[in-house]
Amino acid sequence: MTKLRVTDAILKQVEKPARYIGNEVNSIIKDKDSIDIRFAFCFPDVYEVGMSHLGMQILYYFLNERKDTYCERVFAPWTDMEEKMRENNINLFALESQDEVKGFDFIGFTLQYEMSYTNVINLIDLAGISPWSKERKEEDPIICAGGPCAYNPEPLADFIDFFYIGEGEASLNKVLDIYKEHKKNGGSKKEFLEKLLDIEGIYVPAFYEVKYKDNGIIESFLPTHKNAKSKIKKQIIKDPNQSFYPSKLILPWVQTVHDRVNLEIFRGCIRGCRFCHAGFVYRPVREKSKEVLIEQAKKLLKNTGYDEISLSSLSTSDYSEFESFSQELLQTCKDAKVNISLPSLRIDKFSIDLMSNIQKVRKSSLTFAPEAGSQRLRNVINKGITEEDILKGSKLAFEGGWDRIKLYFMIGLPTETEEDIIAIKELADKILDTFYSIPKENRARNAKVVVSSSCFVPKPFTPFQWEAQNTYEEFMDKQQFLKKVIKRKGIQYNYHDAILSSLEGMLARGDRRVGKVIYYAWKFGAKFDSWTEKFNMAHWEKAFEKSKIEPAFYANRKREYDEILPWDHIWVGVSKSFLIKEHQKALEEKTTPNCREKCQVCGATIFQGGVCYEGTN
Amino acid sequence: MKVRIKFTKEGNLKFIGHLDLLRLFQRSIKKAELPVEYSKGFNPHQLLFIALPLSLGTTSEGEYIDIELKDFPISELEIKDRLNSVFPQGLKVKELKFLKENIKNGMAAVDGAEYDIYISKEKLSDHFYQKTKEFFEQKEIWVEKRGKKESKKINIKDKIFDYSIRENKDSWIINLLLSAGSKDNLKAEIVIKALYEYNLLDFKEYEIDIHRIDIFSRIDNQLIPLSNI
Repeated sequence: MTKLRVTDAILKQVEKPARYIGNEVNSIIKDKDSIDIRFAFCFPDVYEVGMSHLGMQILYYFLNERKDTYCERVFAPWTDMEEKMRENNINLFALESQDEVKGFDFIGFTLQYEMSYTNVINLIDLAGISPWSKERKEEDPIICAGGPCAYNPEPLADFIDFFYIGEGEASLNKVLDIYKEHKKNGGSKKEFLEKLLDIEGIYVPAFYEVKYKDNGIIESFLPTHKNAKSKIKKQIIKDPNQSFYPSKLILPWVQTVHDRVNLEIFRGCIRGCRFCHAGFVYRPVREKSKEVLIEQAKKLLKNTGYDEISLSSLSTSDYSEFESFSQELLQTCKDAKVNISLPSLRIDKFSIDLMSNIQKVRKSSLTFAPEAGSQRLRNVINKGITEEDILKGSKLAFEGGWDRIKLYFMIGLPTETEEDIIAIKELADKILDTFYSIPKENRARNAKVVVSSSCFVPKPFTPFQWEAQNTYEEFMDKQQFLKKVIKRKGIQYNYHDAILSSLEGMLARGDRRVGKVIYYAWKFGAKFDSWTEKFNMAHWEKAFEKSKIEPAFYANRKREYDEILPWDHIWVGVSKSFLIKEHQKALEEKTTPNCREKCQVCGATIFQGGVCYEGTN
Repeated sequence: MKVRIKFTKEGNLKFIGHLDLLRLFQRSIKKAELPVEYSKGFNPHQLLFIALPLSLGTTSEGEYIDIELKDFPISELEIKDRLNSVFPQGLKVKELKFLKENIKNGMAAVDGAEYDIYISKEKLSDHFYQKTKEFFEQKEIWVEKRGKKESKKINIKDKIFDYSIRENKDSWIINLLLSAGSKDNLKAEIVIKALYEYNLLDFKEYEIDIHRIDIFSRIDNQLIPLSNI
């Protein structure tokens, strides 16, 4: 049995000690003496959150396929454990070997949300390493990062040695091959980073220099090394049927948010909702075939013993063979007493029937995400769902026995007016009216409509990347306004304080200077910022003051099309001219058809795969 | 058909909580492809019954779980091997046998449990052995029991069926046979806390190690291990 890094006496004093012991079913233990590369894969949040994340599990098995590499997991110790670790001088350690990550070759962070940035700094520090790249020593691990937030790497540019842009399965092996060779021959860390400049998809911030104008806008962003590329091209797998997918999943010791088999059915999304970061950076859509999926589902269920499987994608109903695939999966699962959960379904006749079929459990709630209340604003954001769709879907659901409809909206979308907000209330009203228009004997006795609103955060690589975000006060006023107009019994309104969305707005479109804010916020005590009970705005306010950075410059300022954006050197395939066109169409309230209806020549064809080439050979 | 499994939960697995252990069993049974019976109703779950929950942080060489399986041709040994092949390190089937139909399930049958409690000698005085004897020989042993609203004093003397004390190089080892089960459960840590207070020592639960040895049922006024019923 692996000797634990932390003593029993400490483990007995912390919450959920199983977070720290490793050796779960299906985790991988390797002989440390027979490997060349030690990789600490780090999810900067607590165990239960990180272990729910499919991407981490895929890359864990992907990296461990290599005989020369030992990839281990690291999560953020919860604050009770961190306290004990700091008290007893215990450095951050990896779960599998329980060794300190300080002695590893790589520490790789996955950046899933901006509010985890202070945890990234905290974990590097907890490892006993300087958070600043330039202060780190030769013997320290190389620190890299990837994931959706890495598409704007600049806020963390001073802390991370290199960023990997795109899907890990595509060229992470190249990086490790180069490293292995480099380690064998000996050489400095800088020399290794220079060698990385030869491969696509790698961004080494130290080899670029940013200059700013007096007004704070970027004047130039230029390579300082002859081999540094001016554009870093996103790396993706062309065909998910041919690419690696694990046949196992690690079974977490502690119950996690998504404690079930997660089967990814496709990557990307054909829809092009204009607010959606994932909808643009993951282009083009690439599907797995039905046969491959059934095969993978069977293997995963067998090797995990899970009794639930969930399909993972940005929009499940858009899977091109969804009807026949779901029937086949249903049969497979029925035989094995396995439940299916289907997130992100479009609510229509087919999906209602399907859900009635698979949900033996009480019919609880159905969810729609209209995102905006009025058709005008839904056209602006290109959300292809109409009031008619929603009312028809609701009617079917009510008649099918459901009695609770959840609606998700965003407040603060570009061009939003008071009428658009009132339209949220009116839509909820119409849904409830629909319920009462159904004869009593064909529906439940009462129904509830739950309206939830979140605050819009403009994201890089979307048509709204130039837009000003609402200020904190604007968000709060709009919420209060909506709260006032929603009075009807049977309609509930949920909202949350806008402060996190405001901060996220600053970080999401931040440049290199924002790194200082993150650093100081952490210095003043910020960590686990995405956890309401741990978040403290005072740390951030002090950080703004200390770093002399004005958050409004990043969050609430409208940019011109010709401004150099901090992420312009990252190339995701979708072109800037396409985003400008989409932005203008948004302002004209014109919609854009989805990728399967009509190609819009967004630029993603350069990847030579997926939906762009469907139907051609 | 019902099987009763006696298993160990040792080493780092002491940090897996009761509900998480139950989930681990559910996955393992599916992984081992054992045709388990499910409950009826809206939310069918596997018919598994752990005899007596084990506190987080406690190891054991004598845990019990009853599993309801569909009738199918399989030997006791085969089930044991299949489960052991999918269990993580620290969890191990020691004994496994089919139960007769009329046997009470493990949970209802529990009347006693035996523990070894390891207490480091480091912070203890030379009189600890003597004082421990004195403590257990008292006519009554009163402890504070904290309820939801108020705490009350209860006498635990007759819930302690037997005790002994031995030593190794670093620790005193107190062996306790305590009343257990749904009717009258006495936790080992409560006894040790009272012992510490008797010795005027500051009790920190994380400083002691508790190890469960076996779980018993009372039959004809004798405590019999659940595996022997």
